[in-house]
Amino acid sequence: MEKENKKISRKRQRRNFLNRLQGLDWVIFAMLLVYAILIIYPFYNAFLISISPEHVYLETPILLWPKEVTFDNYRAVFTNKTLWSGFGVTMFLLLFGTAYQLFFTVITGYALSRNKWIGKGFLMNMILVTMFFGGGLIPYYFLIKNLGLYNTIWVMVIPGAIDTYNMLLMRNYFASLPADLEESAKIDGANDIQIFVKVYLPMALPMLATVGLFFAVGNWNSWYNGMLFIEKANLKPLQLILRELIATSSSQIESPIGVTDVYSEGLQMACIFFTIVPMMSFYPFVQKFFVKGLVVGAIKG
Amino acid sequence: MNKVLIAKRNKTTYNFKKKVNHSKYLILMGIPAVVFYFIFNYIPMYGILIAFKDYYPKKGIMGSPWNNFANFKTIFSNPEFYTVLRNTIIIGFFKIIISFVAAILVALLLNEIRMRIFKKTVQTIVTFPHFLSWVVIGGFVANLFSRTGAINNLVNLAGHDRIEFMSNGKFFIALIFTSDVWKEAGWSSIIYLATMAGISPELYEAADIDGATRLQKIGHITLPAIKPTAVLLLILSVGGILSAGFDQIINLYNPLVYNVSDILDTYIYRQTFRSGMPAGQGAAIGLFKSVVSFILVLIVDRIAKLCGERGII
Amino acid sequence: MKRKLLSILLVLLSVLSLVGLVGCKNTKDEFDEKGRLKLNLRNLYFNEWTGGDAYTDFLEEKFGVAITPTTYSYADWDQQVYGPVQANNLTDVFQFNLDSYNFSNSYVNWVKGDVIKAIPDNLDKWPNIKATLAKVSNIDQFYINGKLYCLPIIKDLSNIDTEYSPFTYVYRRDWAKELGVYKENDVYTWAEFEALLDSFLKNKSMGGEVAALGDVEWGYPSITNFYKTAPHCFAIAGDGTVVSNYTTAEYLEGLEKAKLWSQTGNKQYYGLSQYDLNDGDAAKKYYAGRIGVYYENLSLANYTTLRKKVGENKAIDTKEKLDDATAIMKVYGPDGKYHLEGTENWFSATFFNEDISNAKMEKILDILDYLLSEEGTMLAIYGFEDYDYTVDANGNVELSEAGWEKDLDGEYIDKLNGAKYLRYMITLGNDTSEMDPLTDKDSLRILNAWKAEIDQAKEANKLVVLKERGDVKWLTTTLKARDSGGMLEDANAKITQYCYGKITKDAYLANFNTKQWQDVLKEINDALKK
Repeated sequence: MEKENKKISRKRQRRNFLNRLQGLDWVIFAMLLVYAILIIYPFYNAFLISISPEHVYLETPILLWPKEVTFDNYRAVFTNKTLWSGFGVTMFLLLFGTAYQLFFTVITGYALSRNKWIGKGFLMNMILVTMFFGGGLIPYYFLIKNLGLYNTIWVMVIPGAIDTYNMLLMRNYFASLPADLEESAKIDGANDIQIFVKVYLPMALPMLATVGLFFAVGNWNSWYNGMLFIEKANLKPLQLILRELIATSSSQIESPIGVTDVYSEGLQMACIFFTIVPMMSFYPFVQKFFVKGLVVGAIKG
Repeated sequence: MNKVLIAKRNKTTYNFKKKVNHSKYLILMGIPAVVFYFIFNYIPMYGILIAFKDYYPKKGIMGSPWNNFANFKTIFSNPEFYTVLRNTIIIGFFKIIISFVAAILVALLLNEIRMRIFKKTVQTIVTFPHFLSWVVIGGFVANLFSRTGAINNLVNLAGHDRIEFMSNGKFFIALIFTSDVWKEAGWSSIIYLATMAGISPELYEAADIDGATRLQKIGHITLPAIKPTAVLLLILSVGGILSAGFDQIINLYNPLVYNVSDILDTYIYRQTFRSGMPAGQGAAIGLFKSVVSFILVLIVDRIAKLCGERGII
Repeated sequence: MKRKLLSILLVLLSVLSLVGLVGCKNTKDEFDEKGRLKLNLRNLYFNEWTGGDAYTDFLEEKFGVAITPTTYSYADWDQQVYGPVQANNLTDVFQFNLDSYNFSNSYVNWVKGDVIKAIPDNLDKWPNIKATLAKVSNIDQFYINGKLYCLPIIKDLSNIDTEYSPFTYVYRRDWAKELGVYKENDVYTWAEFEALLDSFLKNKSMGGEVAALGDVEWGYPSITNFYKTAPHCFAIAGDGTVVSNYTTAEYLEGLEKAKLWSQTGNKQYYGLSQYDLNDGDAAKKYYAGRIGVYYENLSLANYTTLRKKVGENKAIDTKEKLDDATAIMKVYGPDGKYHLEGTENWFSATFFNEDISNAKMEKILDILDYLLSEEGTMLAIYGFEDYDYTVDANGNVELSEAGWEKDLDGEYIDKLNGAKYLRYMITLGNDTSEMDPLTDKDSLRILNAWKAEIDQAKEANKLVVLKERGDVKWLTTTLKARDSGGMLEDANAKITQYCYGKITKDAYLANFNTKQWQDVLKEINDALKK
C-alpha cells in the first residue's frame, strides 16, 4: 500500500515537475550545490597539491586548476615500501578481520534477538554496562600484553570481534523479521542454530552486507590500536603510517646524518589519496547498504 | 498453535534444567559474547583500582600501594582539570546542538529538492566524509586552514588579515564544530530523511488544497513528523556529552590550543601515555567521567521514558 | 550447498580465532633456538633498519646474539615510551628524549619504580664507552645515589665541547650583497642587522608577505634571546630568588622589540606567517626564497637538509650561489655580544630495562664498546674492509664501487648497515662526521668555521650563553613537574599573541601572575632554600 502511494506520488511529481519548479526550488538547488562543493573542495584541493611540484604549491595562493603536473609524489608513494606493507596489513584486516568480526557480531545479535532464554538478560545487561564503564588504558594495555596480542596483527582484529553498535543493529534487524518462521521451523524439528542458518541468515543477507561494510570501513580506517600496541614497522596499518607522515617531524629533534625525513605537503596529500581512492571508488555502489543500516539501527535502537 | 507454545515456554513450572535444555543452542551462540565482553571489558575493570593507588609499573596494579583518595584530591585541586572539564562540556554540548540542527537542515533541503538525480548525487557526496578517518580529515584541515593554507590565502587576497584558525582558541573551536558538521551532517541527515519519506503524501495534498505554502508545509507537517525521532536522538546524545570526540581532537589539536580544546579523553590519554604523570590521576579522571556519564544516561533515560519513548535501558 | 558452505565457514572461523589467540603467544626466553642471546632494541634512529643485512649478521655472529631492532615514530614517541613503561612492557633497551621539559621527574620516577637498570659502576671493561661518557656534559645530573641509569647519546656536533646550541640565523648573503648591506665575514652589529632587515623589508617583500625575518615555529620570537637572561620559564632575580622569566624587565624589553618587529609596529620584519603553527612552514618559506633571515637549529643534519632544499631552487645552480643563499649570520646584540642558547651535548639517552640480566647488559655494552673502537667505527661507517673499502699505504680510505652505490648527482647512497644504526645507541656520529662519506662536507666546513668564530668570541668574553641553572632545571618538585610543561606551552602562546597585538599588555602580564605561577615559584624557592 505504501509502495503504491509512493509510486503514484512519484509519477505525479514527474508530470508536474517543470511547471512546479518555483523560486524556492532554485534556492534549495543553489544551497545544496554550495554544500556539495564545500564537501568536494578539500578533496579537490588535496588532489591538486598532490600533483603539483613543491614550488608551484608554495608560489600559488589558491590552486584552482593544475598549473604544472608532476607525478613525483605518486611515484614516491608507490615506491614506498612502508606504505605498501601498511596496505598489506590493512588488506588483511579488511578481508579477514571483517569476516571474523561479522561472524561473532551476527551470532550475538541473533541470539539477543530471540525470545527469552536463560542468560539473555544477563548478557544484555553485561553489554549495557560496558557502554559506560571501562577500566582505562593501563589495565587494557596489561590485558593485551598478557593475552600475547601485543605486537601481533591480531591486536587489531580480536579486540574488535564484537562491536556493540553493529551487534545491536543486527539484533534489531533479526527482531524485525517475522517470528512465526521460527515457530514453524521448530515444529519441523529444527534447532536454533539450524533455524538461524537456514531461515534467518538468508533473510538477513542485506543487513549482513551493511554491517560487513561498516566493519570494512572501520578496519580500513583503524589506527588507534595499532598505535598503542604495534612496535614492528611491518605490522603497522595504513592509517597509522599516514598519521605518522602527517605529523611532520620537527627540527628541534637532533638527527644523525642521512636519517632526516622531510615530508612535503605534496607527498602527504598523495598518501591521503592512496588511502581514500579505494573507498571513493566503491562508495557510490555500496552507499545504499550503509543508508539502510543506519535507518534500521537508529529507528529501532 | 504458536500462542500455546509461547505460553508454555513462559510457564514457570518448567524447571531450570529444562529451560537450559530448551535454549541450549541460543546459549551456545551467546557464549562467545559473554567470553568476549568478560575478557575485553570486565577484566580491565579491576584497573579502576589504579585511581586509588600510587601506581608503580613494576609492582603491577595489585602490588602498588593504596593512597586512598590522594589522586582525587590532586586532580580536584588542579586548575587544569576544571579547564578540561569546562572544555569537554562546551565542546560536547555545542557539538550536539550544532550537528542536530545541521542534520535536520540538510535533511529538509534534500527532502524538498525535486530533481531526483541531483538529489541522489548530492546525497552520495555529502554522506561520504562520514567514512573518512580523522587522520585524513586532520590532514585536510591542517592543509586548508593553516596560516598559509588555501582559506587564509583567500582571506588575504580579499584584503583581510590572515586568521589564525589553528592557534586562536575561538577559531579553533569553530573549526572543531565545522569539521564535525562537514564530516557528519550528511550522514546524520539520512535518519531524518527516512522519517520524512514515511510521511503520508495525503497530508501534503490536504495542505495543498488548503493553499499552504511550502514553508508552511514544512513547519506544520514535516517538522512535527520528525519531532519524535529528533527528540529521541537529541536526548540520547546527551548521555555521550562527556565523550566529546577523542579521535577528532587528537588528530586536530596542537599545544597552542590545549587550553580550549583539551577534553577529558585527550587529557587522560596524555596524562597516561604522553607526559609520564602518575597514572593514578589519569585513572581517577577516567572514573570520574564514567560515573558522571552513567548518571547522565540514567537521567536522560528517565526523561525519554517520561516523553513516552522507549528509553535505552 | 549454501548451508554446507556456511557451516564450513563457521567452523573455520572458530578454529582460526583459537589459532589467533594461541599462535601469537610471545615467548620470553633469554636465548633463541640457535642458542644466541636475544636482544630487543628500540631506537628512534633505527628508522627503516630492521636487521637482516650482512653487517648485522656479522655482529650477531661475532657476539652470539640475535638482534631485533624496532623504531619509534617521532609523532608518537612519548606514547611509545610511556605506554610500555606504564604497562611494564619495555624492550630490553629503549631510547627517550631527554629534552622534554619535565623529563627529569620521569627519570627519577623510573629509577624509584625500578623501571630502568643502572649501568655497571666499573666501566673499565668497556674503555671506549667510558671515554665517550667522559665527554657527556653535565653527566653528574644523571647519577642518582651514585649510580648512572642511562647512556646519554651525544649529539651530532662535530665539536662536542661546546656549551651552546647551534640555534642561530642563516641568511641570504646574495640579497645582502645585491642591496649593498653586506658586512664582511657575515658579522653584523645590532644596528647593521637592523639596517639589513630594513633593506630586505623594503626591497624583497613579496605579495604582502614580509620577507625580512623568520623563525622556526618553536623558536619564535628569537630576538628576545638578545635580551632575556634565561631560556625558559624560570629566571633568577637579583636577590637570587627564582622568578618568572617572562615578566623580567630584560624579557619585557625584548618582547617589546619582538612586538615592534612582528606586526603592530612600523618595522614588521617578521612575516605574518610567524603566527603559523604548521611545523616546518617557516623552513619552507626560506627554501622558497620568501624569508631573508631565518632562525633555526642548525645542527649538521638540519643544516644539510636546509642546504639541500635551498639547492633545489632552479636559480641556485652553483656551489657559490648555494653558499651565498645559506650563509650563517653572526649578530652582535645591542650589548655588543653574541647571544646563544645554552645546550647540553646530548639530546636523548639509551635506557636499559630493569628486567634484563646482567649478562645481557654486559653483552650490549660489549657491542657498543666494539662499535666505538676503531675497528667497529670503520665497520659502521664504511662496511667490510676489502669489500666495501680498501685502505692504501698512507692510511687513506678508498670506497669500492661494489660496496657503495652513487646516485645521479654522484653522491653516495646510504645503505642499511646494522653496525651504523646500532652505533646510534651511543652517539649520533659526532666523532665520525669528518670521515663519513654521507656527510655533506660543505655543511660541515661552514658549521665548523662558525663554531670556531663563536669559540673565539667566547674567549674574548663576547658571548652570552642562555642557560637554565642546573639546580632549577633538575628540580623535581610536585607542582613544577606537573605544571611547568603546560606553563611553557601556555607562555609561548601568550607571547605570540601579545606580539601580534591579539592581547593587551595587562592581559599578558596577568597570565604570569596566576595562582598556578605563584604556587610553582613558591614551591621552587622553598625547595631551593632547603
